[in-house]
Amino acid sequence: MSKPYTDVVITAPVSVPYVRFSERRPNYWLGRALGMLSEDSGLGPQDIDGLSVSSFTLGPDSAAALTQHFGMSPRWLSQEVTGGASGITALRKAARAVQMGDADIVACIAGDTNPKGGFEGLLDSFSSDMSAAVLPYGAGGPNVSFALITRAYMEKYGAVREDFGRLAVSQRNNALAYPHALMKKSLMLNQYMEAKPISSPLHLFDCVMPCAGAEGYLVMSKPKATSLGLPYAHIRATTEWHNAYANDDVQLRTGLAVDAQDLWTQSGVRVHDIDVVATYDDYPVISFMQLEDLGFCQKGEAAKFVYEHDLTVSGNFPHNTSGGQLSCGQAGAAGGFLGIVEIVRQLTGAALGGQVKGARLGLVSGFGIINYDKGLSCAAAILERGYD
Amino acid sequence: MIKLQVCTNCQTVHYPKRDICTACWQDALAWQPVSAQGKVSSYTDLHVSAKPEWADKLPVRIGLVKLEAGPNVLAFLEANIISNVSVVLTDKDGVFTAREQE
Repeated sequence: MSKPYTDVVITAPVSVPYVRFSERRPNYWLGRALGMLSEDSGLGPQDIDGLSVSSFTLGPDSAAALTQHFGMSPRWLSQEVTGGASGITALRKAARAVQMGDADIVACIAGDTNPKGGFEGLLDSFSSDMSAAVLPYGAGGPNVSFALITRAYMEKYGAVREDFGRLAVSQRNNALAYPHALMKKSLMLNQYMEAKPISSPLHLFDCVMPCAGAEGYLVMSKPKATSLGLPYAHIRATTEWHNAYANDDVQLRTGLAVDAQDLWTQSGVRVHDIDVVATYDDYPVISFMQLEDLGFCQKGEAAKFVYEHDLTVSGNFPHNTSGGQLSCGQAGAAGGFLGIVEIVRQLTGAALGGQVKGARLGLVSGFGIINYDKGLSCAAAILERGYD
Repeated sequence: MIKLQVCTNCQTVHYPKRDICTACWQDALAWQPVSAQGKVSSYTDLHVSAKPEWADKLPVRIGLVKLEAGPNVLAFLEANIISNVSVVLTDKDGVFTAREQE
């Protein structure tokens, strides 16, 4: 089991408001996240000695190139490649770097741009397996891969579209209070059901809207955060897996199932202690799998769980409280940061939308890189509101 | 039969294209005929494509097929094929189409 994260905290959650399309470079969006981190913390380019970058659209640039774009001279640098899991994988690395003294303050940022027609180009450069084995079949991209997963899940566990709809509807309710959500209108279950088909059984409201934007946070020692007057959250436990269960015929479980028990043991808390949850919701079925694999319910029973719980901010299982990607939009790799940024806000009493009253313990999980038939990366973290 | 990469060291069959064997890490991959038979694990009717050239061909049915030879492949499915149907694949320039086994 991993060693504890001693005296390392996550702080200064920032969101660069999303826009549907942008002709700016990703460098702009990532740079704005740094600017907001600076505004929140009072720290400048000279103060931050670690940088972690997650982005799909950097093109010829890398995290190393960005140090020059951003006028930084960090002594620790990381480029996250796990997409929807990158908010947590970035935290894991940054926290250890701070804990071991390789960096004092790490800025973790994720962002992407989205020019008109940009999503099509992104698909072509996503992965060699996607190009060779998915795109020749109608160029549906990830919608096809996730439609196949969703259908298999429904057939195996008896879930129906309404079950996924309840998740989407509750997240939209949450999003209505969150100022940066691109979806501003309420969503009713009948609207979800009547939406146009994209790749059956997926319909419009099962799919995220590609957009431009960025998210970020800082990782530093607890004394540093205290001295800067920044509210923070502790890291109680984390996990991360890649290409787990490689021989499954269809992906009906994530790598989170491998050692969820260890995650809970390491955290010292139980499932019922968690006050607020964020799962990676590029499609509802993926949130279902994470809830199951993390032990919030038995395998195959997420539909029942969602039916029996209120997933809104004021409900008995607050989940994706800023609306998730299904309602905020998916700003590329920033989608992998949306959940962790929101959880830190909730735990520090700084929600931009609805606040979960008294939230002390939060869980965030991520899922990313649908290379071909399966999403390869997953990660989770249990965070706790700061204490002295 | 369809042609896929087979490891001449350990006989593992690969798809999509690999550069080393995923089971033994040797680079002894050869394109060899393998069984074209498999079973549909899941399927979807694609209604929306990211590419305009597909617009007038949609919807198309696409399946995830578990080959008897080992790998999972995507394939166009002939009409009305659903999950758990046994199929046989044909390969045209690396794009598979599945019809029901007789």
